[in-house]
Parts: sequence; C-alpha cells; structure tokens
Amino acid sequence: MSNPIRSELLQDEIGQALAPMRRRRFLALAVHTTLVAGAGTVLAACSEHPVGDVKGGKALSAEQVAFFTHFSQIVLPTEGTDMTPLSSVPVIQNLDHLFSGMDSEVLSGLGMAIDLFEHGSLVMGWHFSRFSRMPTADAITYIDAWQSGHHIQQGIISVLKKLVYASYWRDERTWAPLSFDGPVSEKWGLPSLGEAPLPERREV
Amino acid sequence: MMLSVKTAADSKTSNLDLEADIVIVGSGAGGAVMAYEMAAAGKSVILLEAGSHVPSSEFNEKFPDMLEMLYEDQGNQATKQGDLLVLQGRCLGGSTVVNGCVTFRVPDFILEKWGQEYGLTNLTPEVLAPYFDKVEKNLSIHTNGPHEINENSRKLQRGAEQLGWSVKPLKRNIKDCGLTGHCLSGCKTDRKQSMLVTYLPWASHHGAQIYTDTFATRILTDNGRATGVEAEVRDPQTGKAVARMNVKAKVVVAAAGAVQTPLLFLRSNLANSSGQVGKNFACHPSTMIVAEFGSDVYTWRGAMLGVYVDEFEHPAKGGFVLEGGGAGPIELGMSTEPGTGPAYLDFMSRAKNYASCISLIHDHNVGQVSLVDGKKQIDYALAEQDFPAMKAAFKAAAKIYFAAGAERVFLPTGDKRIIESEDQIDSVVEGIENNPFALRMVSYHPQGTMRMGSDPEKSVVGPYGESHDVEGLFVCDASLFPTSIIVNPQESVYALSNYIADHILADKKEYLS
Repeated sequence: MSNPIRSELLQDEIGQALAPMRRRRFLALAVHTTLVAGAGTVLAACSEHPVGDVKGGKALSAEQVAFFTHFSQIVLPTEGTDMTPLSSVPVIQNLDHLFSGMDSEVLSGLGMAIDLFEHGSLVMGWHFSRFSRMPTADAITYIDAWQSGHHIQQGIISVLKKLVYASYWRDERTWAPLSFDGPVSEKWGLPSLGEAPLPERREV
Repeated sequence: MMLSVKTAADSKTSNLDLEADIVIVGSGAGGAVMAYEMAAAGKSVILLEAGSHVPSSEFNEKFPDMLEMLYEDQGNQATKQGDLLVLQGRCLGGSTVVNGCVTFRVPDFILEKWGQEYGLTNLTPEVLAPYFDKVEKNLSIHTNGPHEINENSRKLQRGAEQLGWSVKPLKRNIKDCGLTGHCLSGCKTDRKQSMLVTYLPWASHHGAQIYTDTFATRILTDNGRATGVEAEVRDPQTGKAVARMNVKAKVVVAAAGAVQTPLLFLRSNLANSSGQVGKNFACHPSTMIVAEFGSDVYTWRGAMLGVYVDEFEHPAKGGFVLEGGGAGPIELGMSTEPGTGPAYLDFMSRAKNYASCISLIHDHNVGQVSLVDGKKQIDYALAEQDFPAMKAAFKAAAKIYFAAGAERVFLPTGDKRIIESEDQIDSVVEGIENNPFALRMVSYHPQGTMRMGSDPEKSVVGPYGESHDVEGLFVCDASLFPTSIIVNPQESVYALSNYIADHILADKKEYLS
C-alpha cells in the first residue's frame, strides 16, 4: 500500500500546502485546517486506530501518548548503544508533567502541531500511513524531510524533538553514559556562604 | 539572617492597605538596588515581587527542575512566533538568581550613542564610573582568575589567540566560586552575589518590607501624579488571589523587567503619550555554537563562563561578542540538529568532547511587548539588518574553533548544518536564510521597552528614569535602555538604578518631603 518515502517529494508536497501562508505565525490555524482537515478524509479510509489500549495522562491525551511513544522510539533508539535504555526512563511521564505546566494556549498550539505532524503524510496522498504507524526507516526519512523543509515544518519538528530530548535527558539515569556529573555541591561538601555582610555605606 | 519576607502563606486578611515613602515593583537588579538605597537613606520602602521566595537550599542543580521553579512561565516564555525563548527569573531576586554571573559596564560607545541620539547627555562614562565602582565593590565583581577558566573557555581562548584576536577573561559577581557549572539553576551555595544574598537582605536590614507572591495589577495616580500600586497576593500553587493589596506611596518605581514593566503600564493605561510603552524590544538573541575536539573538554565542568572574544564588539567591526559558556546535556542536546535517531545519539555520545560558546549580537529594537486580550505577547523576529552580525558570529566562532584544533563545528540552526573543515565555513554559513525557526535562539537579556530619552514624543521616561507623563513614577530596569548594549546587562542595571535612586533622594520636586 505504501510507496517508498522520498524526502524531496514530501518537502515539495508540504511546501505547496503551506504556500498560502502569508503570516509568520507559528502553527497558524490556517495551516492546521488545510492539512489536518484534508488528512481527516484519508484517515477515515483507514480503519485501524493506532491508540489501542493506551491511556492518556494528566495533560496528554491517549492519542498524544501513543504518538510520543512511537516518536521517542524513533528519535532515541537506545537499543544497542551505550545510552541508558529508553524503556527505563519515564519519558512519557516527564512529557505529561511538562505539558501539565503549560498554559492552555501553548497546549492548544502543541496539540495542533502534533496533529499536523502525525497526519501530514496522509494528506500528501501517496503514503497511507500516519506517522505513528510508519516503520522506522520511513519515520526517520519523514522526520528529516520536515527538518529540512518549510520553516513551519522545521519549527514543529524541532519543538517535538526538544520536548522528547528534554524528557529523556532530565532523568539522571541518562547522565552516566555522557560522563555528566549532575549536581555536585553536596557531593563535594561545599558550604553555603549565606548572605553577604552589609556593605560600607558610600555616597557617590 | 537579615532577609525577612512576607509570602502568600502569611496573608491573614483578604485586604491589605499599606503606606510607604516608596513602593517598588520587582526585586531583580533594578528593584533590589533601589530598595536598599532608599531604605538605607531612611525612607520607608515596600517592595512587591510576583515570584516566590525560593531559598538557595531548595536549588537542586537540576536545570529542568529549576526552570520550572525559578523562571518566568516555567522556562517556557517565548515570542509569539515561537522560535525564541525569553528566559527571565521569576522569583525573589529575579534574573540575578539564575544568570551566569557575567558583568560588564555599558560600553562607552553605547553611552555616546545614547547621548547623541536620545539626548541622554547626563549618562557619561565619567558620571557613571563611581556607580559602577560602588556596585563592583558591593558585589565582589572581579576578573576571572586562571582557576575560573575551564577547558571549555581555554579552547575559545587558544583559538582566538592563534588568530590574533582580542580575547579576555570575563568579570563575574561571585565570591569564591565553587566551580560547579550550575549557575543557571541558581547558586546553591550562595557564592553568586545575586540580589537574593546581597541588596535584598541589606534592604531588609534597613527596614524595607518585602512581599513575594504579590502581582502588581495597576499603578494608581491622582491628577497626573503617581500615588501607589494596586496588587494581588496570589497562591503560588494555584495562581488564585488570596488577598488584595493597596499600597499608597509618594514615589512609585517599576522594576519588573523589560517584559512585565511595560505590561504594568499598559494595564494601568497611563504614561503612554509617546505611544512607545512596550515598543523597541531588543534581547541580544543568543545562540550556542558547539565544536567537537579529539580530546575531552567536559564543557559543563568548572566556572560556567570564563572568557570572551571582544574583537568584534564595536558595531563597526561586527557588533557581536562570543562568550565561552558551558552547557549540560539538555542544553547540548538541543543546541543543534545533528540528524535523527542513530545520528542524534551518536552526536550525544561524544558530549564530553564538545566545547561551546555563546554569541551575543547588538540587535536593533524591532520587537514589541503588548497586551492582547489581557495576555502578554512578545513580538520579535531577527531583523534583516541584524542577520549579517549573526552569520559573522558563526563564522568567527568556527574559525576560532578550527584554529584551536576542532574536528568539526555544529551550527545552531533548525536544519542540519555541520562544518567539517575551515574551508567550508563561508559556504555552510552563507546557506542559512533568515526565516522563522532557522536559528535556535534564546534571549537572556530582554531590554528597551520603556525607552529612556529627553524627547517626550519619542521616549517613555526622561534622563533620570521618571515618566514624561506621570510625576513621581519611575522605571529602573533594563527596559530603560534605548538601544541594546551588546554585553550582559546586569551591572548596567545596578548602576543605573543607583543613579536614579540618588536622583529621587535629591528630591528636587519634593516628592518625599
């Protein structure tokens, strides 16, 4: 059912879809409705739902949990490397915590970004797979196409990657493979100097 | 312990009516110095801080945790476009608690420009020198010694020296630095001489009353004269108001920073006959350039900021500086685009081999802070006229690193841009276009939104920080700067605030009589 993903094709398609945008505004609603609404038609043709038994978090919906689970596996393939296994780091929990601290406008923008990225491939019409169902090689090509594509695509994929990276590296179990020391003051027994003494009163 | 603070938890009544000679909004570099100078001169002072009092014992040296605890919008404050993070402290002591300790005096050529173009002929190097001398003494500002220049900064230093470019040790407000590299998470052992351990406790000692969790909603006036501030004491967990506060004062000083000060004025619907409140936002959009070396660097170890390259500081030579700045895994992991999946992990696996530096440019005041449907909005996009300085900074950094023996240089771009050898520098950098998200930018230095100047039609406040429109209403934070100053602004705010405090105390208009 799927054609091999060719990044230059994908960029052209998305670039054309985004061309009507005139305002330099991140995640403009116009872009969202153009692409995601279009994707919905194609999506309806695909019966399999990717969420399955996945449960939502405090701030993340079940669909977003499913999305980020797949996305983090693609962008952080720790298996066979010296890095701390992704499975031992609560990336989704950390993401949920991060999202729960954001204001409603930012959350709404991120929700649109995720939708756009998840369904972007469907609207192109040549690849009947939303991102969460793509095999690894296709998913990497798809991500790289966004990374080198239109500036809105670049913005969206950069934000999504940063969210996942931050949720992984914030866990101290990930630091040893990098030789990162983490907190040191207590380890080194550094005493607090406390408040500075009152200065000598000087008029200028 | 000299510091005494009233928090939301201390609120016993739902209405608080207070009175003082002077009420100050904001406890960062401007507000804290103002509070101390006024209180030490015997004036009654009330200081309102929207953030919470977080004692340094609660700093845990984990950057993501501290972003959430100490920074505005939990570290998520961004421009409307979304491609520039604007990092500011939101805690007692403001950004002085979370900065990198770097201090500079306003460069003389900037003061000259302020005099010529904005009528600030009062702000000469000679007039300001004693103020700089004073804050430098009070805050233990000193030139980094050799032990405060880590391997990360040495790479920058060696490369610049190889090229014959000027490179100097930075000056920092720190006492017996613990060399932890965790400055941006607050200084757990109180070596950084932030306002939290200096001017605020000193102000408190002299009787200043400090209220945290207290958000100033409106400046009050009567017949063109400032009379006080209306505020809400808010539960820091829920954000809900637990008490209303009304502070009557003879003098009102706004020191909430270049984002919140104009918002306070706009909410109050005053002092804007020039139409300049919130305009002229500049921010030193900053990027991190990363270079890979064949040997271990451990960019996160030692003093966070060691040296800087000032060869191109003057606008005629480029208008940018490069500061040797360390980074932890989170900052490194987001600094560039090395590729997806295996390529990214491969990049991160060599984290200890990277050196990093920060670029600061003399950006033009093209942005704006405004209220849209009652919410703050920061509009800023890198101006076309500033893009050459940004590219020149990348080229200079890459040249320096290759001169120091780097194997490759990673650019802070939205797409993948890696320079593998010196002869690729120009072609790789020139390929960058000035689009949204093209660069990975962070601002630590918002400024300019309450422009100071002698012409009431073109500026919000006069040469002594007083509103052109409302008597007894002053501003003393980085929003005053009529242009960006290229270098880290904290010391300039300290000195300017002290200068304005002296003017208020001279009381030529008899506000305090």
